[in-house]
Amino acid sequence: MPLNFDSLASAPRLLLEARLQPIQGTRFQPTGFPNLGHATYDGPNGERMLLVESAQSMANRLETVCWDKAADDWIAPLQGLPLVKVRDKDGAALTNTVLEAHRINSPYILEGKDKTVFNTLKSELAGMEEGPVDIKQLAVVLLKLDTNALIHGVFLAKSELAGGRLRLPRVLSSFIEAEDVKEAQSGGVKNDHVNPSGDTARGFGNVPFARSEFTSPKIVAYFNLDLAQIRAFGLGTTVSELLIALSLFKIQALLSSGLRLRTACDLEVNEEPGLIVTRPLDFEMPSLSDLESALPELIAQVAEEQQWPQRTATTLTWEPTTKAKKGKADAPADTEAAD
Amino acid sequence: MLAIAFTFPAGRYHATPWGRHVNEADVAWPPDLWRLSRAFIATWYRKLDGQFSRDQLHGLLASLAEAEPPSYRLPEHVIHAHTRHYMPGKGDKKTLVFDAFARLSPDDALVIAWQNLSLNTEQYTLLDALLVNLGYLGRAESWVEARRIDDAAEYSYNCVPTDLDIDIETGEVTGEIVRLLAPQPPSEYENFRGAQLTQAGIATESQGHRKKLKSDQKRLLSTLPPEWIDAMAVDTSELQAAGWSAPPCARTISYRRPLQALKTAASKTTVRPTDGQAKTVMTTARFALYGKPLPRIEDAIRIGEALRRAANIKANHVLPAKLLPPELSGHDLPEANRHGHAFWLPEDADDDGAIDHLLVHVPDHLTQDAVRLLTSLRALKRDEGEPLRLILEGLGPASAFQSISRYAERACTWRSVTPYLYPWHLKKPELRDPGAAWAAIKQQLRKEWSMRGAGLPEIEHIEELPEIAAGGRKLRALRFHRFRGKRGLTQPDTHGRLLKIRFASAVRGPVALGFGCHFGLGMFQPLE
Repeated sequence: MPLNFDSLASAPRLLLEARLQPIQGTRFQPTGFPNLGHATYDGPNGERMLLVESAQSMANRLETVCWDKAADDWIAPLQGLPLVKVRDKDGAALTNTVLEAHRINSPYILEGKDKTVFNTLKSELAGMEEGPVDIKQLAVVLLKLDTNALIHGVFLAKSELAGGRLRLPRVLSSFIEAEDVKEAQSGGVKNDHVNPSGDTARGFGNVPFARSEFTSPKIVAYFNLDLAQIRAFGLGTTVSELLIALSLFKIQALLSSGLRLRTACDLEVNEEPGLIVTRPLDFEMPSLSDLESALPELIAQVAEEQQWPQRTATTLTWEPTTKAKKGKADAPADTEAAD
Repeated sequence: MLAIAFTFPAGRYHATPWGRHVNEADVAWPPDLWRLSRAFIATWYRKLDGQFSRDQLHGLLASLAEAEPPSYRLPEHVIHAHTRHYMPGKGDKKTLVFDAFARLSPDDALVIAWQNLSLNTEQYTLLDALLVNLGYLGRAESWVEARRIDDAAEYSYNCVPTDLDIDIETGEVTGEIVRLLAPQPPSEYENFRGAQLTQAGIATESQGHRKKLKSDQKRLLSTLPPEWIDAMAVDTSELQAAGWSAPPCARTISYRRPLQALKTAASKTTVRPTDGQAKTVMTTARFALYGKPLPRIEDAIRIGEALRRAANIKANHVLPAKLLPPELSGHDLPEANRHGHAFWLPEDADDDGAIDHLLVHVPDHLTQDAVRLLTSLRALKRDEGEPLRLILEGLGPASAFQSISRYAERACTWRSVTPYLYPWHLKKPELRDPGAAWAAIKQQLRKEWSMRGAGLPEIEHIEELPEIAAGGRKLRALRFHRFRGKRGLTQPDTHGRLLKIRFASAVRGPVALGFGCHFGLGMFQPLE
């Protein structure tokens, strides 16, 4: 079925809510570090609330669902979208703008010896050192370098680029919150039946552990798409449609397959009421399969309109300058990247 | 009058006050005109500069800045909360950041109203466009929907510009003072800027050619642009780098905000939405009674009155008013309150003839003060011997006790536990004829029951019992103590009767009727 965005033509924003539930059982594991505790707080009606997933974390997840790790490329329906790939000096894949927390502002792109992208940005965005930043020009540049950044926002914090004032807010933002939560405390012991009092630091011995989980009668994922901002980029109807379709695809893909937020926090959308459009009320959310089939055509149209080259991926090689630290440390699995 | 309503669809408002570090986790509440003006400028830059001119924007913002400071209607239940996150940096570096926000209902509007301001048509058009396109207010997570409203007069404004936070006549503290930023009107900014540049030895544009400036002069000049709109749009980090403790284009206005406008925890008295389910009302408390010997069931009215006395004495110590709340005392109640106040009901739960429990039942429901008082009761004094110990077993609706107290069950047929004494005088002919007297008593009983509430099932059958069994003893009505301790009361019936009554359908207990029914006379229990 072709996509129909007519009802979004004059709407300032699209608001969606999805009611979620644990796939199995009633408990789910919250985010948090032992020294921070869980992100609980009171709601206005006295109910205990829990932030299940922050806006930053959701942005990362909405990007992860677009990426095929094995092929080191966009998943099939998104093939052909511009991005920046970073390889190490041996030519092995290191990172890319879809997976990087700060997208095109990643230090692996702007802080290395390979200045390809930095120089492109500098030349294309020249003349903005003084006076207001030209957002439309920034959008034009990002569209052909890192389209994904138009959706999730970017902050080019380098003083050489318009005095570090180049920034775009998120067009798509989201978070998950649980209402009226109750804590479910449990625990156990990792048993060592050979030597229960062995050296636990080396993996021997019995190790007791505690586990904090939560139950909630209402877990909601909220999504907000700033349609007015997409139109204000001034990139034309086709590009706007592509950005909207890409955003909706991300939401549907996340809801259908990307809700295993943590080992013991595997959620799914309730069949009733499922995904609800709260603004504008007359918009019908396209299905994942409709979006998957429409996106390649939309990407091809935009590529033709914008005269994108055959290869839309910019590839550069990461070599740290003398100032930059060597090697990329692995962030802990639960770390939330601030965008 | 101009009024704008803001609702936050995600129920969250994130904004750090000027001059505070984000990790202080404070929230700028209410959102001030300075933040709103800057949000309008950003919205115009990002979304509307092709449709409206800069001069139009200047005109609108200047009208808002020059008007009398607006009043606010703040939502009633707003919680000041925060979450903590690690923000990844280069390599292994992780910075702990606090994300503070106000959590409020998505449909509870914050209203800003300018009482004496009206704009021209062009300005209204621009303002409406800005409001429609305003995606967030404060940080990007503060999703907002804003619109102009016509029914502004229907709201009461609880955050108003004033520097008085007490009632001068009574001395009562009526709020707390918060200092909100607002843009200086353009003319005042121009004068301020001229004075600042002169003081720093920098020539203004009108004074012609500038000498080469030092770095601190350059920094100062960059924060004092000649255009008023540019001055409002200067980046906060630039202002701080130039040493400003507050934005140079802003003025401070004192507002009186209600006390507790931002609570860190929800008040526990908040009525929660019930999603259509009946609300559980707390009407009943049950105490266990310990002591040797326990009082006999025949003395029920003495124990009921003793409990009421104990509560009265305790109220003097634990309640601010030093008095029993009306629903416990039965005093100062509206005319319509027929027995909605407390029943103090002694109970023999194990059928050994001794009172081992006490039920306090308030059909109109227990207030917070009553709960506080009942939970503090510890002992019941007797005329002689050791006081009896009271242990509160629980509080809740009467139905919560149905499995442990016969008084709280639902049943059709009930029989006396203590004698029923008719409450109104009988006429002389009725006194002379036992048949007529019995008919009149039955009539009184039905009348009294019908006054207990609308829609109660009727009494179908009333039968007198010669005696009841308690703790292996056969008890007639005359074996019971049947008089109130309070003097001067009219008591039409001094004899009392033991009854069995059957209702048309099941009723929920406790059932207590007749003279002294609030203190332990006329109590009934379901017939086994």
